[in-house]
Amino acid sequence: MNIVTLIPDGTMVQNQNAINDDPLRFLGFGVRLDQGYTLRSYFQMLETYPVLAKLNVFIPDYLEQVHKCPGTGCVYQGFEHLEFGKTVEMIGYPGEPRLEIYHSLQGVSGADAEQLKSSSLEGLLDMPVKLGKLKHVILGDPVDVFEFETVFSLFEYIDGIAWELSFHGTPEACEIRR
Amino acid sequence: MFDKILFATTASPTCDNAAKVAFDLELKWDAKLFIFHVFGVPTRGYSPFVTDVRTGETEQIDPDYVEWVKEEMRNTYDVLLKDSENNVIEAVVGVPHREILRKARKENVDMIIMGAHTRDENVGAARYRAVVGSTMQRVAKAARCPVVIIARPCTTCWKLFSNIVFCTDFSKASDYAFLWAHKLAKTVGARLHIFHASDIGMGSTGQAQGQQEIEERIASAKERIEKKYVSKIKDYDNYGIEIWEGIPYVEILKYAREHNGDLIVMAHHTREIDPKDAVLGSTVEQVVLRASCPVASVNHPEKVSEEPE
Repeated sequence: MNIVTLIPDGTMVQNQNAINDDPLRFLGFGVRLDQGYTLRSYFQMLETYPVLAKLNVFIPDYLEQVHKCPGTGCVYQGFEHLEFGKTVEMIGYPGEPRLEIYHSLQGVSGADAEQLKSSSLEGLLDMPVKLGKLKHVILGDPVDVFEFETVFSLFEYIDGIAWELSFHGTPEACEIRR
Repeated sequence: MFDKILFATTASPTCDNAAKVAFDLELKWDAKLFIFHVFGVPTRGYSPFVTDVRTGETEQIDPDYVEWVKEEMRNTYDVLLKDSENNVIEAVVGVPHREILRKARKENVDMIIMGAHTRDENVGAARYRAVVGSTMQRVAKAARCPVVIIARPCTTCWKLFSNIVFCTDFSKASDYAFLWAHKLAKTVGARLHIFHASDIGMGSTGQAQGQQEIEERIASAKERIEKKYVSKIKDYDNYGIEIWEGIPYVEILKYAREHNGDLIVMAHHTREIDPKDAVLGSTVEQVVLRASCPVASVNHPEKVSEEPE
């Protein structure tokens, strides 16, 4: 499979050459994250290649939020890094038997993966991002989950992270009247 | 404003956030709280066996089993029950949405509170499926009182709400939602945000709208808001009008986040169709799944009178 390498400064590289135009051609390529890649690098990539920001309706809003965040130090102490993963789930009940495939972005600390929950972008931007494994859940059994090495396409990576972040728009403060 | 509240629960962690809000409301409004759990579906008429709604397993039903389920519910909510003064715990057999609606009608409750999901499953899976629980959909579709859906921890106490975001698509059901949002805002002294998202998605011909057309639509929406809603607000001046263009659920979520919305109030479907035929509108679904605050779905003129009681 063709591979595109994502550099921390937001540049995409293929065969040691920086991609300068027409990034859409690379959406089907597998993704490799270079050393030092963070969530901020993801947004820098979307600013370097604006056409990619059209892939998900929430991206323009995130980019606005990113501009309001501090330039450094946006980390959450509870996680060591963020992990982008994929799950394939066989479902037998309820409803018709079916197979579902979805992505996730979770915070990882040691061997534990946790939901990002109410973490805002300000607490995540400078967290390292790593690619995880493919999890195979069979008939709702959450204990014996199979895990496999896998490849994520550029499209899966961009859309999957945007999709996951769209569930984390918790207000930073609530305006409680006293 | 709320004398009777029905908290429809699966008695599992998926409803924990909703439980906190339900018990909180009971105390704040001195309301009677019905903690209601439908634990099994009859296998066939007069059969002593039921299909557990969560596991799909067949269980034999008898008074001891029902009492055991209620005891489990008490254990689940033991911390919240300590402060509760006026509650009734009930566990029944039946089709969940039907029993919830039946109970709501029988007790003439002012509001139903539910979690967004009825099954405890992987969060990512629930998001991927992008559907809220089918029981919740059916209840929201047919309930004659507002249904409040709690998918995330509620950051603000109900009586201290500062910002209530009412989203309208100018449908009949939106009119009812407005009456309820106005009544609630007036009661708790919150700012009422009247919000409309003008959908600028591609038309059926695939042609994007021009700037002039968008501006005309925004001006027209503002006029409709003034006529339909502002004229009814009368003596309450703590309100604002905002019209944004874009994809409705994206704009609603963005607006609620930027203005620290404590509650989003919407009609449960977004088109002028018979409520009985409507499924939960996709805009509401997307908002329920992503909103960090509770979402109230209003579908019927009952329980939404304009003047606070």
